Amino acid sequence: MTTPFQKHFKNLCMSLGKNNKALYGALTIAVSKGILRPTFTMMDKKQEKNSRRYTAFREGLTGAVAFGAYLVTDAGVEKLAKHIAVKTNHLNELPKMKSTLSLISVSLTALFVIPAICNAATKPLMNAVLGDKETRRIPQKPVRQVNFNGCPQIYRPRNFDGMRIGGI
Amino acid sequence: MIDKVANILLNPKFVNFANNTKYTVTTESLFKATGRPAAIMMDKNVDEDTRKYAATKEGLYQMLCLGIYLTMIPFIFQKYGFKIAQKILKGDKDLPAFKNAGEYLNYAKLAKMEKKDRQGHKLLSKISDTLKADPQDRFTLKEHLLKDEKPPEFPAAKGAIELSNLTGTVIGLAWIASELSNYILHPLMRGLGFENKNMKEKK
Repeated sequence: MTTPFQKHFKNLCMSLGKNNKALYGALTIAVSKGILRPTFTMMDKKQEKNSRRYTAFREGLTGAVAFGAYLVTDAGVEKLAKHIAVKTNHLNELPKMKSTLSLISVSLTALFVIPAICNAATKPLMNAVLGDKETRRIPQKPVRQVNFNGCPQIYRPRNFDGMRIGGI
Repeated sequence: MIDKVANILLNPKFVNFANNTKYTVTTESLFKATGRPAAIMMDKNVDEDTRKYAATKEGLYQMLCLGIYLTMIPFIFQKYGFKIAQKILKGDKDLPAFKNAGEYLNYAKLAKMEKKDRQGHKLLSKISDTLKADPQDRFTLKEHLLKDEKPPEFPAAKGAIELSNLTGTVIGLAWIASELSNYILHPLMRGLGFENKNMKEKK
């Protein structure tokens, strides 16, 4: 006798076995890191509350950006795969073409698209949501100081130890 | 030109690679380990020392996470995930009672080969002599490999492994590896001269 759970589980396995795509792994990482990392950050009582909120927001935002970017680029790739398959008379092998193109799009999205969006959008979004007070933690341009010889000297902050990395 | 592109995209080795969660997650992580540090280094709003520090830390973090993930996948997620799937689908002819995920992977490699290449292949010795997909089947799976042009490939078994790898991605890569790497990262960064041991105490 097959229960509904067994039926769904088997369908899921069959589907992944026949047509697995790089997109699924990428989306899994984006969702799980986008949820787990901000949760752990907020649970870390060693950091002050504002710092936790800032880091958690940044991590969650990176997850959301990654999730959206992977979906959008994959939608474009699906159309491209169909176009190539039609032009080359390989319509019966369209799922295979989609899966290889999916790997290429996921890799390029991770390499170029997500870092570019994050570099451009993180600060304005954080300013809008958290307010300017809390986003002052983002590293700014080096502060210029004048030394005793009258020459400008660049002060480089070296308190790097508390910086959190490893977004999505 | 477009035919050449289609041939590359439909290359069986490339298709197999793109269908494997472990390989695709590895590829994505390697691109992240190079793309993110490069993006950090290009951000001219931050001073050079900070950029070097953040880029090194990001690259090391992604590589550590990947290393921990790849170590955990075959020993934990693939092994136990496949067993759990076999328990859930016990008696289902689409997921035969392979001893473990390794035996299925060897079977799948052989099943994808040409019939003549399977004869006498060293992997045949790793397939059980008595295993059948269905008790009423006249032939064992090993006999199918030797007699059939296209032996059954059992996509449910492959899917069970991919599902285990995806679960491993959540637990292993996003959770355990992320937390573990933070413990390893600081001594590494100190070794590279980017961090001071007593910095926290001074602060």
